[in-house]
Amino acid sequence: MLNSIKRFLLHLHPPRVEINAIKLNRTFGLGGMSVFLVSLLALTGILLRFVYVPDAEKAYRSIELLNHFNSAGRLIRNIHYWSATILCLFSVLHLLRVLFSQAIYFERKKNWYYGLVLMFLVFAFCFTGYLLPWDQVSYWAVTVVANVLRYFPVIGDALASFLLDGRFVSEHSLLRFYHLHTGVLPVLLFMVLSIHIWLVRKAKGVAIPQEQKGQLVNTSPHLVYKELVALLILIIAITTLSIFFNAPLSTPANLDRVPEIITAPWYFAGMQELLLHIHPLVGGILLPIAFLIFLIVVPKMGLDEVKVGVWFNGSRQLKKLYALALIFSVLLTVLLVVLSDAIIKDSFNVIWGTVFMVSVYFVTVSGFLIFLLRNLNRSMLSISMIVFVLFTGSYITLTIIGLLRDAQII
Amino acid sequence: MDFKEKSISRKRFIKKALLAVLTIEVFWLLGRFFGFHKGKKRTDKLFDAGSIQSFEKGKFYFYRSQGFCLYCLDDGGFLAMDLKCTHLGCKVNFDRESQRFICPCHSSAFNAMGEVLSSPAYRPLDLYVVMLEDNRLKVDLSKAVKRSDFNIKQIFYHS
Ligand code: HEM
Ligand code: FES
Repeated sequence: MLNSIKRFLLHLHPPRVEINAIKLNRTFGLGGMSVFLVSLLALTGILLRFVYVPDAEKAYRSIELLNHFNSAGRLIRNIHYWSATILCLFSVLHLLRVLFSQAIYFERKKNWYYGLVLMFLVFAFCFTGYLLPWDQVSYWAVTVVANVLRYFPVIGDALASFLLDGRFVSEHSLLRFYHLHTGVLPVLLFMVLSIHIWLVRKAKGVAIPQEQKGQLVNTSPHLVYKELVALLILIIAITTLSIFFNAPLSTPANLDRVPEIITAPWYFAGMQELLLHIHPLVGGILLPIAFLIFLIVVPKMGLDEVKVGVWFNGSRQLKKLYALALIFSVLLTVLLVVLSDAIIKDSFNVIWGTVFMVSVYFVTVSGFLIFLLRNLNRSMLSISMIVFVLFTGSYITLTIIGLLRDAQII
Repeated sequence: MDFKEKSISRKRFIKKALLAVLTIEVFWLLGRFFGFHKGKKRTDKLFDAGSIQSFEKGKFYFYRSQGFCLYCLDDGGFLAMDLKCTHLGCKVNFDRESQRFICPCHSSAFNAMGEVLSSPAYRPLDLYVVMLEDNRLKVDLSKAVKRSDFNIKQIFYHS
Protein backbone atom coordinates (compact mmCIF):
# COMPACT_ATOMS: atom_id res chain seq x y z
CA MET A 1 0.00 0.00 0.00
CA LEU A 2 2.62 2.50 1.12
CA ASN A 3 4.72 1.45 -1.79
CA SER A 4 1.95 2.12 -4.26
CA ILE A 5 1.31 5.56 -2.74
CA LYS A 6 5.01 6.23 -3.10
CA ARG A 7 4.93 5.08 -6.71
CA PHE A 8 1.93 7.30 -7.41
CA LEU A 9 3.58 10.37 -5.90
CA LEU A 10 6.76 9.59 -7.82
CA HIS A 11 4.67 9.58 -10.94
CA LEU A 12 3.74 13.21 -10.38
CA HIS A 13 7.26 14.31 -9.52
CA PRO A 14 10.58 14.08 -11.32
CA PRO A 15 12.94 11.47 -9.81
CA ARG A 16 15.25 14.09 -8.39
CA VAL A 17 14.35 17.54 -7.01
CA GLU A 18 16.15 20.67 -5.86
CA ILE A 19 16.70 20.57 -2.12
CA ASN A 20 15.71 24.23 -1.79
CA ALA A 21 12.48 23.64 -3.68
CA ILE A 22 11.15 21.27 -1.06
CA LYS A 23 11.86 23.40 1.98
CA LEU A 24 8.69 24.22 3.87
CA ASN A 25 8.93 28.00 3.51
CA ARG A 26 9.12 27.67 -0.28
CA THR A 27 5.53 26.54 -0.91
CA PHE A 28 4.19 25.80 2.58
CA GLY A 29 2.79 22.76 0.79
CA LEU A 30 -0.29 24.78 -0.07
CA GLY A 31 -0.66 23.60 -3.66
CA GLY A 32 0.00 19.99 -2.75
CA MET A 33 -2.45 20.04 0.12
CA SER A 34 -5.03 21.63 -2.18
CA VAL A 35 -4.61 18.72 -4.59
CA PHE A 36 -5.25 16.34 -1.72
CA LEU A 37 -8.33 18.33 -0.65
CA VAL A 38 -9.67 18.17 -4.19
CA SER A 39 -9.41 14.37 -4.14
CA LEU A 40 -11.02 14.20 -0.71
CA LEU A 41 -13.86 16.37 -2.00
CA ALA A 42 -14.31 14.13 -5.03
CA LEU A 43 -14.43 11.04 -2.82
CA THR A 44 -16.89 12.41 -0.25
CA GLY A 45 -18.89 14.08 -3.02
CA ILE A 46 -19.36 10.76 -4.78
CA LEU A 47 -20.58 9.26 -1.51
CA LEU A 48 -22.99 12.13 -0.88
CA ARG A 49 -24.49 11.60 -4.32
CA PHE A 50 -25.76 8.22 -3.15
CA VAL A 51 -28.27 9.88 -0.84
CA TYR A 52 -28.80 13.42 -2.04
CA VAL A 53 -31.95 14.09 -4.11
CA PRO A 54 -31.81 17.22 -6.31
CA ASP A 55 -35.47 18.08 -5.94
CA ALA A 56 -36.89 21.09 -4.15
CA GLU A 57 -39.33 18.90 -2.25
CA LYS A 58 -36.83 16.28 -1.17
CA ALA A 59 -33.38 17.86 -1.04
CA TYR A 60 -33.58 19.21 2.49
CA ARG A 61 -35.12 16.01 3.79
CA SER A 62 -32.39 13.91 2.21
CA ILE A 63 -29.72 15.89 4.04
CA GLU A 64 -31.66 15.60 7.29
CA LEU A 65 -31.98 11.85 6.87
CA LEU A 66 -28.29 11.66 6.10
CA ASN A 67 -27.54 13.59 9.28
CA HIS A 68 -29.71 11.52 11.56
CA PHE A 69 -30.13 8.03 10.24
CA ASN A 70 -27.01 7.23 8.34
CA SER A 71 -24.16 5.92 10.45
CA ALA A 72 -21.28 7.72 8.78
CA GLY A 73 -23.46 10.16 6.85
CA ARG A 74 -22.96 13.15 9.04
CA LEU A 75 -19.23 12.58 9.20
CA ILE A 76 -18.95 12.34 5.42
CA ARG A 77 -20.99 15.49 4.95
CA ASN A 78 -18.85 17.29 7.52
CA ILE A 79 -15.64 16.14 5.84
CA HIS A 80 -16.96 17.44 2.51
CA TYR A 81 -17.87 20.75 4.13
CA TRP A 82 -14.58 21.23 5.95
CA SER A 83 -12.45 20.17 2.99
CA ALA A 84 -14.27 22.73 0.84
CA THR A 85 -13.82 25.45 3.42
CA ILE A 86 -10.13 24.71 3.81
CA LEU A 87 -9.66 24.44 0.04
CA CYS A 88 -11.07 27.95 -0.39
CA LEU A 89 -8.68 29.24 2.22
CA PHE A 90 -5.67 27.33 0.88
CA SER A 91 -6.24 28.36 -2.74
CA VAL A 92 -6.23 32.00 -1.71
CA LEU A 93 -3.11 31.52 0.42
CA HIS A 94 -1.48 29.59 -2.44
CA LEU A 95 -2.27 32.49 -4.78
CA LEU A 96 -0.61 34.87 -2.33
CA ARG A 97 2.36 32.51 -2.02
CA VAL A 98 3.08 32.29 -5.76
CA LEU A 99 2.58 36.02 -6.16
CA PHE A 100 4.86 37.16 -3.36
CA SER A 101 7.56 34.60 -3.99
CA GLN A 102 7.78 36.00 -7.54
CA ALA A 103 6.74 32.70 -9.10
CA ILE A 104 4.33 34.08 -11.71
CA TYR A 105 6.66 35.56 -14.29
CA PHE A 106 8.04 34.37 -17.65
CA GLU A 107 7.49 30.64 -18.20
CA ARG A 108 5.18 30.56 -15.15
CA LYS A 109 2.83 33.25 -16.44
CA LYS A 110 0.72 30.71 -18.27
CA ASN A 111 0.33 28.68 -15.10
CA TRP A 112 -0.75 31.77 -13.19
CA TYR A 113 -3.61 32.09 -15.69
CA TYR A 114 -4.55 28.44 -15.27
CA GLY A 115 -4.41 29.13 -11.54
CA LEU A 116 -6.88 31.99 -11.94
CA VAL A 117 -9.24 29.63 -13.76
CA LEU A 118 -8.84 27.17 -10.86
CA MET A 119 -9.67 29.93 -8.40
CA PHE A 120 -12.83 30.68 -10.35
CA LEU A 121 -13.73 26.99 -10.42
CA VAL A 122 -13.19 26.63 -6.67
CA PHE A 123 -15.53 29.58 -6.02
CA ALA A 124 -18.05 28.23 -8.52
CA PHE A 125 -17.98 24.91 -6.64
CA CYS A 126 -18.61 26.65 -3.33
CA PHE A 127 -21.42 28.75 -4.77
CA THR A 128 -23.26 25.92 -6.53
CA GLY A 129 -22.77 23.52 -3.63
CA TYR A 130 -24.14 26.09 -1.25
CA LEU A 131 -27.64 25.90 -2.75
CA LEU A 132 -27.93 22.11 -2.62
CA PRO A 133 -29.16 21.68 1.00
CA TRP A 134 -32.09 23.95 -0.01
CA ASP A 135 -32.33 25.59 3.39
CA GLN A 136 -33.25 29.19 4.18
CA VAL A 137 -29.69 30.45 4.30
CA SER A 138 -28.67 28.88 1.01
CA TYR A 139 -31.84 29.86 -0.81
CA TRP A 140 -31.57 33.55 0.02
CA ALA A 141 -27.81 33.73 -0.38
CA VAL A 142 -28.11 32.39 -3.93
CA THR A 143 -31.00 34.79 -4.61
CA VAL A 144 -28.81 37.70 -3.58
CA VAL A 145 -25.83 36.62 -5.71
CA ALA A 146 -28.03 35.99 -8.76
CA ASN A 147 -29.52 39.45 -8.34
CA VAL A 148 -26.06 40.98 -8.26
CA LEU A 149 -25.56 39.45 -11.72
CA ARG A 150 -28.69 41.24 -12.91
CA TYR A 151 -26.90 44.55 -12.47
CA PHE A 152 -24.44 43.54 -15.20
CA PRO A 153 -25.03 46.06 -18.02
CA VAL A 154 -27.17 44.88 -20.97
CA ILE A 155 -26.83 41.10 -20.53
CA GLY A 156 -27.36 40.97 -16.75
CA ASP A 157 -30.95 39.70 -16.82
CA ALA A 158 -30.16 37.11 -19.47
CA LEU A 159 -27.12 35.93 -17.51
CA ALA A 160 -29.05 35.53 -14.27
CA SER A 161 -31.98 33.78 -15.96
CA PHE A 162 -29.54 31.48 -17.70
CA LEU A 163 -27.86 30.57 -14.42
CA LEU A 164 -31.14 30.09 -12.54
CA ASP A 165 -33.15 28.71 -15.45
CA GLY A 166 -35.88 31.22 -14.70
CA ARG A 167 -36.56 34.55 -13.07
CA PHE A 168 -35.99 33.43 -9.50
CA VAL A 169 -34.37 30.57 -7.61
CA SER A 170 -36.62 27.55 -8.16
CA GLU A 171 -36.50 23.78 -8.47
CA HIS A 172 -35.12 24.30 -11.99
CA SER A 173 -32.20 26.25 -10.54
CA LEU A 174 -31.60 23.45 -8.06
CA LEU A 175 -31.31 20.89 -10.84
CA ARG A 176 -29.03 23.19 -12.79
CA PHE A 177 -26.78 23.85 -9.79
CA TYR A 178 -26.67 20.15 -8.98
CA HIS A 179 -25.56 19.30 -12.48
CA LEU A 180 -22.95 22.05 -12.47
CA HIS A 181 -21.66 21.04 -9.05
CA THR A 182 -21.46 17.30 -9.59
CA GLY A 183 -21.05 17.05 -13.35
CA VAL A 184 -19.69 20.02 -15.24
CA LEU A 185 -17.36 21.61 -12.70
CA PRO A 186 -15.60 18.37 -11.64
CA VAL A 187 -14.73 17.61 -15.27
CA LEU A 188 -13.44 21.14 -15.84
CA LEU A 189 -11.50 21.12 -12.58
CA PHE A 190 -9.89 17.80 -13.39
CA MET A 191 -8.75 19.04 -16.80
CA VAL A 192 -7.45 22.40 -15.64
CA LEU A 193 -5.78 20.93 -12.57
CA SER A 194 -3.94 18.34 -14.66
CA ILE A 195 -2.60 21.09 -16.91
CA HIS A 196 -1.70 23.16 -13.85
CA ILE A 197 0.37 20.38 -12.31
CA TRP A 198 1.96 19.49 -15.63
CA LEU A 199 2.97 23.12 -16.18
CA VAL A 200 4.74 23.17 -12.80
CA ARG A 201 6.90 20.31 -14.02
CA LYS A 202 7.37 21.92 -17.39
CA ALA A 203 8.77 25.03 -15.67
CA LYS A 204 11.31 22.66 -14.02
CA GLY A 205 9.59 22.66 -10.65
CA VAL A 206 8.67 25.44 -8.29
CA ALA A 207 10.50 28.73 -8.58
CA ILE A 208 13.66 29.10 -6.50
CA PRO A 209 16.28 31.84 -6.60
CA GLN A 210 19.06 31.33 -9.14
CA GLU A 211 21.79 31.06 -6.49
CA GLN A 212 19.96 28.31 -4.60
CA LYS A 213 19.88 26.01 -7.58
CA GLY A 214 22.03 22.95 -8.17
CA GLN A 215 21.65 20.76 -5.08
CA LEU A 216 19.58 17.80 -6.14
CA VAL A 217 18.20 15.07 -3.88
CA ASN A 218 16.14 11.97 -4.55
CA THR A 219 12.42 12.66 -4.58
CA SER A 220 11.93 9.49 -2.60
CA PRO A 221 12.30 9.65 0.36
CA HIS A 222 13.00 13.39 0.71
CA LEU A 223 9.90 14.92 -0.89
CA VAL A 224 7.59 11.92 -0.58
CA TYR A 225 8.25 11.78 3.15
CA LYS A 226 7.36 15.45 3.61
CA GLU A 227 4.22 15.08 1.53
CA LEU A 228 3.03 12.11 3.56
CA VAL A 229 3.55 14.01 6.81
CA ALA A 230 1.61 16.98 5.44
CA LEU A 231 -1.20 14.66 4.36
CA LEU A 232 -1.33 13.03 7.75
CA ILE A 233 -1.58 16.36 9.55
CA LEU A 234 -4.30 17.50 7.17
CA ILE A 235 -6.28 14.28 7.60
CA ILE A 236 -6.10 14.54 11.37
CA ALA A 237 -7.14 18.20 11.30
CA ILE A 238 -10.10 17.63 9.00
CA THR A 239 -11.30 14.56 10.86
CA THR A 240 -11.13 16.41 14.18
CA LEU A 241 -13.01 19.40 12.79
CA SER A 242 -15.62 17.10 11.25
CA ILE A 243 -16.19 15.19 14.47
CA PHE A 244 -16.67 18.27 16.61
CA PHE A 245 -18.18 20.87 14.26
CA ASN A 246 -21.17 20.10 12.08
CA ALA A 247 -21.72 21.58 8.65
CA PRO A 248 -24.52 24.15 9.01
CA LEU A 249 -28.11 23.38 8.09
CA SER A 250 -30.83 25.90 8.83
CA THR A 251 -34.61 25.54 8.38
CA PRO A 252 -36.01 24.42 4.99
CA ALA A 253 -36.15 27.05 2.25
CA ASN A 254 -39.22 29.25 2.45
CA LEU A 255 -39.73 31.22 -0.75
CA ASP A 256 -42.09 33.71 0.88
CA ARG A 257 -40.13 34.81 3.89
CA VAL A 258 -36.52 35.62 4.74
CA PRO A 259 -35.35 34.76 8.27
CA GLU A 260 -34.63 37.71 10.54
CA ILE A 261 -30.95 36.96 10.65
CA ILE A 262 -29.26 35.90 7.48
CA THR A 263 -25.53 35.80 6.81
CA ALA A 264 -23.27 34.97 3.90
CA PRO A 265 -20.64 32.20 4.23
CA TRP A 266 -17.32 33.56 5.45
CA TYR A 267 -15.70 33.65 2.02
CA PHE A 268 -18.48 35.95 0.81
CA ALA A 269 -18.60 38.03 4.01
CA GLY A 270 -16.37 40.73 2.49
CA MET A 271 -18.59 40.99 -0.57
CA GLN A 272 -21.70 41.17 1.60
CA GLU A 273 -20.13 43.95 3.64
CA LEU A 274 -19.20 45.83 0.46
CA LEU A 275 -22.76 45.55 -0.84
CA LEU A 276 -24.06 47.12 2.37
CA HIS A 277 -22.29 50.32 1.45
CA ILE A 278 -22.05 50.63 -2.29
CA HIS A 279 -24.14 50.06 -5.39
CA PRO A 280 -24.18 46.43 -6.63
CA LEU A 281 -23.05 47.44 -10.12
CA VAL A 282 -19.87 48.88 -8.64
CA GLY A 283 -19.29 46.55 -5.68
CA GLY A 284 -20.49 43.32 -7.23
CA ILE A 285 -19.42 43.76 -10.84
CA LEU A 286 -17.11 46.65 -11.77
CA LEU A 287 -14.65 46.35 -8.87
CA PRO A 288 -14.29 42.54 -9.20
CA ILE A 289 -13.74 42.94 -12.96
CA ALA A 290 -11.17 45.66 -12.34
CA PHE A 291 -9.38 43.39 -9.88
CA LEU A 292 -9.47 40.52 -12.35
CA ILE A 293 -7.93 42.70 -15.08
CA PHE A 294 -5.28 43.70 -12.58
CA LEU A 295 -4.53 40.03 -11.82
CA ILE A 296 -4.21 39.38 -15.55
CA VAL A 297 -1.66 42.14 -16.11
CA VAL A 298 0.33 41.56 -12.91
CA PRO A 299 2.70 38.92 -14.35
CA LYS A 300 3.53 41.27 -17.24
CA MET A 301 4.63 44.19 -15.08
CA GLY A 302 8.14 45.15 -14.07
CA LEU A 303 9.77 42.14 -15.73
CA ASP A 304 13.26 43.70 -15.80
CA GLU A 305 13.45 43.83 -12.03
CA VAL A 306 11.94 40.47 -11.13
CA LYS A 307 14.13 38.17 -9.07
CA VAL A 308 12.33 34.91 -9.72
CA GLY A 309 11.69 32.86 -6.60
CA VAL A 310 12.91 35.52 -4.17
CA TRP A 311 10.33 36.23 -1.46
CA PHE A 312 9.08 39.84 -1.74
CA ASN A 313 11.80 40.39 -4.34
CA GLY A 314 14.37 40.48 -1.59
CA SER A 315 14.52 44.02 -0.37
CA ARG A 316 14.06 45.04 3.26
CA GLN A 317 12.69 48.42 2.32
CA LEU A 318 10.12 46.81 0.07
CA LYS A 319 8.83 44.64 2.89
CA LYS A 320 8.41 47.77 4.99
CA LEU A 321 6.48 49.40 2.15
CA TYR A 322 4.16 46.40 1.94
CA ALA A 323 3.51 46.62 5.66
CA LEU A 324 2.86 50.35 5.33
CA ALA A 325 0.44 49.76 2.44
CA LEU A 326 -1.37 47.11 4.45
CA ILE A 327 -1.82 49.39 7.47
CA PHE A 328 -2.88 52.23 5.18
CA SER A 329 -5.55 50.15 3.43
CA VAL A 330 -6.92 48.74 6.69
CA LEU A 331 -7.27 52.21 8.20
CA LEU A 332 -8.80 53.70 5.08
CA THR A 333 -11.34 50.89 4.79
CA VAL A 334 -12.34 51.04 8.45
CA LEU A 335 -12.71 54.81 8.16
CA LEU A 336 -14.98 54.55 5.11
CA VAL A 337 -17.13 51.85 6.68
CA VAL A 338 -17.58 53.88 9.85
CA LEU A 339 -18.41 56.96 7.80
CA SER A 340 -20.95 55.03 5.77
CA ASP A 341 -22.61 53.48 8.81
CA ALA A 342 -22.78 56.73 10.74
CA ILE A 343 -23.79 59.25 8.12
CA ILE A 344 -24.10 58.15 4.54
CA LYS A 345 -26.46 55.17 4.81
CA ASP A 346 -29.39 57.09 6.26
CA SER A 347 -28.96 60.45 4.62
CA PHE A 348 -27.81 59.77 1.08
CA ASN A 349 -29.02 57.73 -1.79
CA VAL A 350 -26.67 54.77 -2.31
CA ILE A 351 -25.65 56.11 -5.72
CA TRP A 352 -24.21 59.28 -4.21
CA GLY A 353 -22.76 57.28 -1.35
CA THR A 354 -21.00 55.05 -3.86
CA VAL A 355 -19.65 57.97 -5.87
CA PHE A 356 -18.40 59.56 -2.69
CA MET A 357 -16.76 56.47 -1.21
CA VAL A 358 -15.23 55.15 -4.41
CA SER A 359 -13.74 58.54 -5.23
CA VAL A 360 -12.39 59.02 -1.72
CA TYR A 361 -10.86 55.55 -1.87
CA PHE A 362 -9.23 55.95 -5.24
CA VAL A 363 -8.06 59.51 -4.70
CA THR A 364 -6.44 58.59 -1.39
CA VAL A 365 -4.87 55.44 -2.79
CA SER A 366 -3.54 57.30 -5.83
CA GLY A 367 -2.13 59.98 -3.54
CA PHE A 368 -0.36 57.29 -1.55
CA LEU A 369 1.10 55.73 -4.70
CA ILE A 370 2.20 59.06 -6.16
CA PHE A 371 3.86 59.86 -2.86
CA LEU A 372 5.77 56.59 -3.02
CA LEU A 373 6.76 57.10 -6.65
CA ARG A 374 7.99 60.65 -6.05
CA ASN A 375 9.86 60.16 -2.84
CA LEU A 376 11.21 56.67 -3.13
CA ASN A 377 11.55 56.29 -6.85
CA ARG A 378 9.86 52.92 -6.78
CA SER A 379 9.65 50.71 -9.81
CA MET A 380 6.70 49.28 -11.74
CA LEU A 381 7.17 45.93 -10.02
CA SER A 382 6.84 47.25 -6.51
CA ILE A 383 3.96 49.52 -7.52
CA SER A 384 2.02 46.56 -8.87
CA MET A 385 2.68 44.60 -5.70
CA ILE A 386 1.71 47.54 -3.52
CA VAL A 387 -1.54 47.99 -5.44
CA PHE A 388 -2.21 44.32 -4.83
CA VAL A 389 -1.53 44.71 -1.10
CA LEU A 390 -3.86 47.73 -0.94
CA PHE A 391 -6.78 45.95 -2.63
CA THR A 392 -6.33 42.71 -0.74
CA GLY A 393 -5.89 44.57 2.53
CA SER A 394 -9.18 46.37 1.97
CA TYR A 395 -11.00 43.19 1.05
CA ILE A 396 -9.66 41.29 4.06
CA THR A 397 -10.67 44.20 6.29
CA LEU A 398 -14.18 44.11 4.82
CA THR A 399 -14.33 40.37 5.44
CA ILE A 400 -13.37 40.81 9.09
CA ILE A 401 -15.85 43.67 9.58
CA GLY A 402 -18.54 41.58 7.87
CA LEU A 403 -17.85 38.59 10.11
CA LEU A 404 -17.91 40.78 13.22
CA ARG A 405 -21.23 42.25 12.06
CA ASP A 406 -22.64 38.77 11.44
CA ALA A 407 -21.61 37.75 14.94
CA GLN A 408 -23.39 40.92 16.13
CA ILE A 409 -20.27 42.21 17.78
CA ILE A 410 -20.60 45.50 15.90
CA MET B 1 -14.86 19.57 -66.95
CA ASP B 2 -18.48 20.39 -66.92
CA PHE B 3 -19.09 17.68 -64.38
CA LYS B 4 -16.29 18.87 -62.12
CA GLU B 5 -17.57 22.41 -62.04
CA LYS B 6 -21.02 21.19 -61.16
CA SER B 7 -19.77 19.04 -58.33
CA ILE B 8 -17.83 21.92 -56.80
CA SER B 9 -20.82 24.17 -56.93
CA ARG B 10 -22.94 21.49 -55.32
CA LYS B 11 -20.40 21.16 -52.54
CA ARG B 12 -20.38 24.89 -52.11
CA PHE B 13 -24.14 24.94 -52.07
CA ILE B 14 -24.26 22.40 -49.27
CA LYS B 15 -21.58 24.26 -47.35
CA LYS B 16 -23.45 27.53 -47.67
CA ALA B 17 -26.75 25.95 -46.75
CA LEU B 18 -25.18 24.45 -43.64
CA LEU B 19 -23.65 27.79 -42.78
CA ALA B 20 -27.00 29.49 -43.19
CA VAL B 21 -28.73 26.95 -40.96
CA LEU B 22 -25.98 27.36 -38.40
CA THR B 23 -26.29 31.15 -38.46
CA ILE B 24 -30.03 30.98 -37.94
CA GLU B 25 -29.49 28.51 -35.14
CA VAL B 26 -26.92 30.76 -33.43
CA PHE B 27 -29.13 33.81 -33.75
CA TRP B 28 -32.08 31.90 -32.36
CA LEU B 29 -29.99 30.75 -29.40
CA LEU B 30 -28.70 34.29 -28.80
CA GLY B 31 -32.26 35.57 -29.01
CA ARG B 32 -33.39 33.03 -26.45
CA PHE B 33 -30.42 33.85 -24.27
CA PHE B 34 -30.96 37.58 -24.28
CA GLY B 35 -34.65 37.17 -23.71
CA PHE B 36 -35.98 38.58 -26.99
CA HIS B 37 -38.57 35.83 -26.89
CA LYS B 38 -41.78 36.26 -24.96
CA GLY B 39 -41.07 35.39 -21.33
CA LYS B 40 -43.24 33.04 -19.34
CA LYS B 41 -45.91 35.06 -17.63
CA ARG B 42 -46.10 34.68 -13.89
CA THR B 43 -49.84 34.61 -13.96
CA ASP B 44 -52.46 35.68 -16.47
CA LYS B 45 -55.22 36.11 -13.96
CA LEU B 46 -56.02 39.00 -11.74
CA PHE B 47 -55.59 38.15 -8.11
CA ASP B 48 -58.77 38.52 -6.10
CA ALA B 49 -57.80 40.25 -2.84
CA GLY B 50 -61.30 40.28 -1.35
CA SER B 51 -64.43 42.36 -1.11
CA ILE B 52 -63.75 46.07 -0.85
CA GLN B 53 -65.82 46.34 2.32
CA SER B 54 -63.55 43.93 4.12
CA PHE B 55 -60.58 46.33 4.29
CA GLU B 56 -60.05 48.60 7.28
CA LYS B 57 -58.52 52.01 6.81
CA GLY B 58 -54.92 52.43 7.91
CA LYS B 59 -54.13 48.72 7.80
CA PHE B 60 -51.70 46.53 5.90
CA TYR B 61 -52.82 43.24 4.41
CA PHE B 62 -50.18 40.67 3.52
CA TYR B 63 -50.44 38.10 0.77
CA ARG B 64 -47.15 36.36 1.48
CA SER B 65 -47.50 33.50 -0.95
CA GLN B 66 -48.30 35.97 -3.74
CA GLY B 67 -45.37 38.09 -2.57
CA PHE B 68 -47.21 41.40 -2.13
CA CYS B 69 -49.01 43.52 0.41
CA LEU B 70 -52.00 45.81 0.16
CA TYR B 71 -51.99 49.03 2.13
CA CYS B 72 -55.40 50.53 2.80
CA LEU B 73 -54.63 54.19 3.45
CA ASP B 74 -56.41 56.35 6.02
CA ASP B 75 -58.29 58.12 3.26
CA GLY B 76 -59.53 54.86 1.77
CA GLY B 77 -57.00 54.64 -1.08
CA PHE B 78 -55.14 51.43 -1.90
CA LEU B 79 -51.50 50.77 -2.66
CA ALA B 80 -50.35 47.28 -3.69
CA MET B 81 -46.62 46.78 -3.21
CA ASP B 82 -44.26 43.96 -4.12
CA LEU B 83 -42.48 42.56 -1.06
CA LYS B 84 -39.33 41.90 -3.07
CA CYS B 85 -36.55 44.19 -1.92
CA THR B 86 -35.39 46.41 -4.78
CA HIS B 87 -31.76 45.98 -3.71
CA LEU B 88 -31.01 42.31 -4.28
CA GLY B 89 -34.32 40.51 -4.18
CA CYS B 90 -34.83 39.32 -0.60
CA LYS B 91 -38.37 39.53 0.81
CA VAL B 92 -38.85 42.45 3.16
CA ASN B 93 -40.44 42.08 6.59
CA PHE B 94 -42.86 44.60 8.08
CA ASP B 95 -42.23 46.19 11.42
CA ARG B 96 -45.68 47.20 12.73
CA GLU B 97 -44.36 49.45 15.46
CA SER B 98 -42.37 51.76 13.23
CA GLN B 99 -44.58 51.12 10.17
CA ARG B 100 -41.50 50.28 8.09
CA PHE B 101 -40.53 47.54 5.75
CA ILE B 102 -37.11 46.21 6.70
CA CYS B 103 -34.98 43.89 4.61
CA PRO B 104 -33.07 41.25 6.59
CA CYS B 105 -30.36 40.89 3.94
CA HIS B 106 -28.64 44.29 3.96
CA SER B 107 -31.03 46.20 6.23
CA SER B 108 -32.58 48.54 3.70
CA ALA B 109 -35.67 50.25 5.14
CA PHE B 110 -38.80 51.52 3.38
CA ASN B 111 -41.69 53.59 4.73
CA ALA B 112 -45.38 52.72 4.47
CA MET B 113 -45.55 54.02 0.89
CA GLY B 114 -42.53 51.92 -0.02
CA GLU B 115 -40.10 54.84 -0.25
CA VAL B 116 -36.48 54.23 0.74
CA LEU B 117 -35.56 55.38 4.23
CA SER B 118 -32.21 53.72 4.45
CA SER B 119 -29.82 52.41 1.78
CA PRO B 120 -28.40 50.26 0.10
CA ALA B 121 -31.72 50.06 -1.77
CA TYR B 122 -32.41 53.20 -3.76
CA ARG B 123 -35.65 52.44 -5.63
CA PRO B 124 -39.01 52.33 -3.80
CA LEU B 125 -40.76 48.97 -3.60
CA ASP B 126 -42.40 47.98 -6.91
CA LEU B 127 -46.12 48.40 -7.39
CA TYR B 128 -48.96 46.28 -8.74
CA VAL B 129 -51.95 47.76 -10.49
CA VAL B 130 -55.14 47.61 -8.39
CA MET B 131 -58.65 47.67 -9.87
CA LEU B 132 -62.24 47.16 -8.82
CA GLU B 133 -64.41 44.48 -10.39
CA ASP B 134 -67.87 43.57 -9.05
CA ASN B 135 -67.07 45.30 -5.77
CA ARG B 136 -63.97 43.15 -5.31
CA LEU B 137 -60.39 44.42 -5.29
CA LYS B 138 -58.33 42.78 -8.00
CA VAL B 139 -54.56 43.04 -8.22
CA ASP B 140 -52.79 42.55 -11.53
CA LEU B 141 -49.84 40.34 -10.58
CA SER B 142 -48.68 39.82 -14.16
CA LYS B 143 -46.34 42.78 -13.98
CA ALA B 144 -44.52 44.58 -11.15
CA VAL B 145 -44.36 48.28 -11.98
CA LYS B 146 -41.04 49.94 -11.24
CA ARG B 147 -41.07 53.52 -9.96
CA SER B 148 -38.38 56.00 -9.07
CA ASP B 149 -40.38 57.83 -6.42
CA PHE B 150 -43.75 57.99 -4.79
CA ASN B 151 -46.58 60.15 -6.11
CA ILE B 152 -50.28 60.38 -5.41
CA LYS B 153 -51.28 58.92 -8.77
CA GLN B 154 -49.94 55.56 -7.67
CA ILE B 155 -52.74 55.22 -5.12
CA PHE B 156 -55.96 53.58 -6.27
CA TYR B 157 -59.17 55.35 -5.29
CA HIS B 158 -62.66 54.10 -5.99
CA SER B 159 -65.39 56.66 -5.88
C1 HEM C 1 -7.61 24.00 -6.90
C2 HEM C 1 -6.71 24.86 -6.59
C3 HEM C 1 -5.20 24.71 -6.86
C4 HEM C 1 -4.43 23.61 -6.75
C5 HEM C 1 -4.88 22.22 -6.32
C6 HEM C 1 -3.07 23.98 -7.13
C7 HEM C 1 -1.97 23.13 -7.12
C8 HEM C 1 -0.65 23.53 -7.33
C9 HEM C 1 0.52 22.76 -7.03
C10 HEM C 1 0.52 21.35 -6.47
C11 HEM C 1 1.62 23.51 -7.33
C12 HEM C 1 3.09 23.12 -7.06
C13 HEM C 1 3.80 24.04 -6.08
C14 HEM C 1 3.08 24.39 -4.81
O1 HEM C 1 2.68 23.50 -4.06
O2 HEM C 1 2.94 25.61 -4.56
C15 HEM C 1 1.14 24.76 -7.88
C16 HEM C 1 1.95 25.77 -8.37
C17 HEM C 1 1.49 26.98 -8.87
N1 HEM C 1 0.19 27.45 -8.79
FE1 HEM C 1 -1.40 26.39 -8.15
N2 HEM C 1 -3.06 25.31 -7.48
C18 HEM C 1 -4.34 25.79 -7.32
C19 HEM C 1 -4.75 27.09 -7.52
C20 HEM C 1 -3.94 28.12 -7.98
C21 HEM C 1 -4.32 29.50 -8.04
C22 HEM C 1 -5.67 30.05 -7.57
C23 HEM C 1 -3.24 30.18 -8.57
C24 HEM C 1 -3.13 31.65 -8.84
C25 HEM C 1 -3.94 32.33 -9.58
C26 HEM C 1 -2.19 29.23 -8.84
C27 HEM C 1 -0.96 29.53 -9.41
C28 HEM C 1 0.15 28.71 -9.36
C29 HEM C 1 1.46 29.05 -9.88
C30 HEM C 1 1.85 30.36 -10.60
C31 HEM C 1 2.29 27.96 -9.57
C32 HEM C 1 3.79 27.85 -9.88
C33 HEM C 1 4.54 28.22 -8.64
C34 HEM C 1 6.02 27.95 -8.76
O3 HEM C 1 6.47 27.51 -9.80
O4 HEM C 1 6.71 28.21 -7.75
N3 HEM C 1 -2.64 27.98 -8.46
N4 HEM C 1 -0.26 24.76 -7.84
S1 FES D 1 -31.66 42.56 -0.61
FE1 FES D 1 -32.77 43.91 0.63
S2 FES D 1 -31.20 45.15 1.37
FE2 FES D 1 -30.10 43.86 0.05
